Amino acid sequence: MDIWQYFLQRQREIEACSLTIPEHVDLFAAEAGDERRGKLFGCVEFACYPPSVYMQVHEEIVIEGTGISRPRYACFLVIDGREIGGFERHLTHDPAVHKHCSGHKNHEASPWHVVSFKQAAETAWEYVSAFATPLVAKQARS
Amino acid sequence: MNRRHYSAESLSHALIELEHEYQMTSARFYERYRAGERLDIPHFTQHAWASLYEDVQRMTGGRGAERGSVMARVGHAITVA
Repeated sequence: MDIWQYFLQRQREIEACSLTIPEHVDLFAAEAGDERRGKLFGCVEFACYPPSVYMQVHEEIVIEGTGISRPRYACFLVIDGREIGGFERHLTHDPAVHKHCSGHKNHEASPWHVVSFKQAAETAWEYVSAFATPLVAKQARS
Repeated sequence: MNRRHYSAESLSHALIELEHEYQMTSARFYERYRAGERLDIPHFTQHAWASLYEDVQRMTGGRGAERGSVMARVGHAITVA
């Protein structure tokens, strides 16, 4: 699989999670001169919610033979300008794989396991459903 | 899907924007990030900044991208805290 085929898979995965890529965002990019590497970088929005509810995404993608790895990733939920929390993998951290926001205090980081994008999106949806106001409710109020 | 690419120069453009916004060089930020200092910068931004900085270092063999051309396009100078 080349990186563009992989990106197409990921695009379908995002849509299957009821998330949308804003028109102005180029979420997928390959490394110039080495298309075994690439990135997802940008934000995705939640279907039926305003643009102020979004998930910031960065994933480093490395294709080696038939294997695909994500050496670094971060998925963070933002609601109305506030970073709610997210999942992260970065080797400079100890532990490298962790999550932010336990719900107990701000800026808290806790060890966690590697999460897929789909798992991060499912968790984000739980928070969005609980704390964000969908478009229909916003329109009804105005 | 548009076939977009990034390069050391395009990532450096993003680094300069971050340096401008947070009034800190990327090298200084990265040092503080690695040391685990608490920074008043959103977590995602910290992750992205550190990752892009690492990418530029890797892609340029530690030299960093040519700042002159990037700066000319960005159109502003950075101030180091």
